This record gives sequence, C-alpha cells and structure tokens, in this order.
Amino acid sequence: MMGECVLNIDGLVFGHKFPLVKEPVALSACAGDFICLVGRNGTGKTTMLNTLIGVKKPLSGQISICGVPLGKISAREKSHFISFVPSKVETVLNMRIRDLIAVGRSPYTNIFDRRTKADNAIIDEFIQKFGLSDIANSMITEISDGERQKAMICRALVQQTPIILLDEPTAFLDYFAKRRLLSDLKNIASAENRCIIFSCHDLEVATKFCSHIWLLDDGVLVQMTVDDFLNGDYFSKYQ
Amino acid sequence: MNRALSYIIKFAVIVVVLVALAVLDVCTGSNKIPLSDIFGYIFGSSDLSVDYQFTIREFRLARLITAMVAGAALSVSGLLMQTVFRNPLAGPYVLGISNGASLGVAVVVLGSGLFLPSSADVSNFAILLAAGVGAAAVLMLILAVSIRVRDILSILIVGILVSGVVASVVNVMQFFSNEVNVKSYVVWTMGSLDSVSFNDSIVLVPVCVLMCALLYMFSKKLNILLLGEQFAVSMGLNIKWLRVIVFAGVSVLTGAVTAFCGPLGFIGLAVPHISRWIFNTSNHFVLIPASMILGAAFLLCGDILSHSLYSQGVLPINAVISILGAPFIIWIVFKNQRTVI
Repeated sequence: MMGECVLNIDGLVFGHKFPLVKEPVALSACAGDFICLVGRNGTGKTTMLNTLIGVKKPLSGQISICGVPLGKISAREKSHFISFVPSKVETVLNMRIRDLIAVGRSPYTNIFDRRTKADNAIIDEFIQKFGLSDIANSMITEISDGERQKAMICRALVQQTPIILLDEPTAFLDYFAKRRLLSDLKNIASAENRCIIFSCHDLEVATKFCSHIWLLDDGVLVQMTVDDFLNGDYFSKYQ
Repeated sequence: MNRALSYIIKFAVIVVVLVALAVLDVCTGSNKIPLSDIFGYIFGSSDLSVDYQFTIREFRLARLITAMVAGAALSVSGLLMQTVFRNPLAGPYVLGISNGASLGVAVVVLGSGLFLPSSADVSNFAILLAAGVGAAAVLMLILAVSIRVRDILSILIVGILVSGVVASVVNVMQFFSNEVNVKSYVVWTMGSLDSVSFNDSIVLVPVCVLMCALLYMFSKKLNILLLGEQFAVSMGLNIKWLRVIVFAGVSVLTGAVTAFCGPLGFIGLAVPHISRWIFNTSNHFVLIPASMILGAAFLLCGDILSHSLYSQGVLPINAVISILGAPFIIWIVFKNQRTVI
C-alpha cells in the first residue's frame, strides 16, 4: 500500500541562470517512499535538492508539499514540511550532540528557542531510538563522521517533517556503515511513514535498499523502479 | 536541570569577579583612593573630601563605565563575527569598520595642519564625529556588498581589502603630515579609556545595551547558522538579512567604541573563545551575556594593569591588552590544530 502523496513537482525547470534540464520535471513522491536521486557529476543533483529546500529559486514550474504550493508559504512554514541533511556536518566548536539534535525543534519554538516538555520528549525519544544516548553529551568535534551523520539524521526526524532530503549521506562512510545507514533509513521511511529522498553515488549499495530511483540523465529527470534502472542502458552507456 | 545550574553558578562567579575588578579599577589611578572611601562614595557618606568625590565621578567612574561598555561591545561583536564568518579567527575588525573610523580621525587630525593654523587644537567632539562618519561610510560599503554577494568568503575578502586600502590612505596622509599631528594620531591609535568624560561615557551605555539586546534576539538564528548556510536556509532563515542585521549591529558597536577609545585590539578575538571555554557551549543565548561580562572584566584587567604597572603614567591600553590577549590567540591556534584538522 502506498502512503498519501506528499510531494508534487509539476513542470519544474531548475538551474542557475540557464536550465539544467531539457524537459520540465513532473514527479511525485509519497509517504513511506525511499527514493535515490541518481545522476553523474555535474548533472544537477545538488541544484535539484537546493531548489527543493529553497536555496535556489525554480526557473519555472511549481513544487507543492502536501497539496500546498511552496511559493504560497513562508520559509519558516516550509521548514515544517521539509528537513534537510547536508553531506558534511560543520565542525562547530563546543556544541553537544544533544544541542545539535535539539536544533530540529527550532522551527516550532519561540524567538528565545524555549522548548516545551513535549519538544524535549520528542528529542529524548529519537535520541533513544537512534542509540545516541551514550554520546548525547559529547561534543560534535569528539565523535566520528558516521556518528555525526547519524546525529544529523536524528535531528531531521526530530523536526517531524513529512519529507526528509539528504545530500550524499554516504559520502564519508565506510562500506559497512553505508549499508547500515541506508538500511536504517529504509526502516525509518516505512516505520515513521516519511518520504526520504537522498542523492547518492554508491549505486550498488543504494539500489539494494531504495524503493524508487529518480534518474537525472541527459537533462531529463524521471522516476523508475529499481529493476528498470538496473536493466536499463544507464550502466552500459558510460562504460 | 544540571546544566542550567552550572550556568547559573558560572554566571554568578564571573559577575562577582567583574564587580571586584570594577571596585579595584576605581581605586587605581594616579593617586590611589582607599577602598573605604570608595564604599563611602557608593553609600553616599558625607565625610568624603570634595576632591575625592570629583575624582571618582569625573575620572574614575567615566573610565570604569567606558571600559566595561567597550569590553562588552567588542566581545559581542567578535563573537557574532566568528559565527557569521564561521571562522574562529574573525573579530570585530575584519570588516574594516575601525579602519574607517581611523581614516575619519586621520582626516581631521592629520588634515588639521593643512587647513587650520598650527596653534588650533582639534576638539574631542570633532574626533568623535570624524570617527563616526568614517565607520558609517565603511558600514554602508559592507552592507551594499553583503546584499549583492552571496558567498561569505567574498564578503570577508572585500572587508580585508577595504581595511588595507583605508590603512594605506592613512599611511599616505601620515607621510605628508607634520610631526606633531602624526604623534597625536599615533597616540589615538594606541587607544585610551581616559579621554572619555562622564557625560560621554553615559552616551555609550544605551547604544551598547540596545544593540546587544537587539542582537541577543537573533541568538536562535545564529545557533542554526553555526551548522552551515545551506542548512540554515533549509530551516527557513533569510541569510542575507541576518547578515545585514548582524553587520549593522556590530558596526554600530565597534564604530561607537572606536570613536570613543580608539581601535582596541584583541578583546573581540580572544574573549569569545574564553567564554566558549568557560561555559563549554556554542549556544548564543549563553555566549552573548557571557561575552559581555567577560569582555568587561577583560578590559578592566587591562585598564588596572595599564594604570598600575608604570608608576610615572599610563601605559597604552592597546599594548597591555595585546600582551594579555596574545596567549589566548596562541591557545586558539593550538586547540584548532587538534580539533579541526
């Protein structure tokens, strides 16, 4: 059973000054989907993600989330719908893991960032679920890349958005950590009923876990099943 | 909560240290005033000599207020610059604001020899005004750049270049100026807390308090910005406006302090690191008040030392705080070698 449709992309053209796609993009994604955005270097994966999170304005077309067009809501309201995990976490001096995860509640708090009991309960719940209790009081600079990545993903879940975007989450991880991360994300997508979209270059690992592929190739972005992708001509084309 | 309690204890300790330093600062000067007379002044005792009353009010209190406000303003400025540029070595002066103020002062002090008869003295007010205009001019330039340019590194480069160009213009002016004016300009650049009158120092207080309060309101956004700009945008922040507000606030703070006291170095760079180290947090809701208190205490230390190390007069405050501050900069360099790389 598919969940409800949370993301609708209609006639979207993205790029910097010039479009990076030849045909307008029309895609949709549902709660529970675990989508891998595939494309070679320079095809515009990052620009696509940046357009979704609002760093870049779309050149034309419309993105709507849970039926609401992105142009109609404020940047702050948008952070109630989409959370983002950058590929590399900044090394911040003297920041604890718990503080990092608590940032996920900031779209819901007041100007003084006062968290309610409910906010703190959500933070504690996900710290437990992610097995981060032991390092919750460690500094960001003291833990490994894998743990930082995990904390950042935990933060995205704490934000409680229907859509989670990850920019190359496997980039700094070893082979086993990659498998572990993607299998965890897959479970989160189905268990928490979130729509998770990630860009990735580790196709062998990614295709084992994701539910769909968004293939950005030759200026065309289309959705396909993992089987269609593996049997298609993408691999033979660039050998 | 455990952490809240430790914050309260730490804040209590640094406030006590600040008050102790403040009392010590009022005692210190060309003639030492005994502690009992200071308390007599505070509690309005009547058997205090008129001399002491005048000295405390016009010289010591003015100096005390100036030192505390300047220390607090520069430290908060340094903290915010380090956050916005996400660079531990940024300080209040990277944007060239103080160089703008210096240029204004240089134009008045060095240029006075060209337009005025040599006997005329440049008034304190003219220096203040010139420094303010100079700082404001650089601020306008930086704001124009930061509205147009997205990349924070480009803004940093523009800031450093502006500082360099402005400093060179001042150099050229010094080259063509006469000895007396060059000396009075150089003395201004050494920084001084003594040339501020009680009434002037009272003007500094609301400016500093208002700006710090305004910037404190942006603590939540600054905490998010620590995690990167792309991430901050995804959390709904308008990076450009946040930068413009922080730059404007920092410029008013450093511009005002530079106008009154000259370019005071090191505080803005060192104190934010000291507060991070003492409070062991990156949270601006804690770091902004902590930097204010510690910055005030740091500059009071410098002031007390500059008045007591040399019996014949006052050592330049800039030299004293640089000697005090340098060990911290070295410590930052060593600490970063371990953590960042």
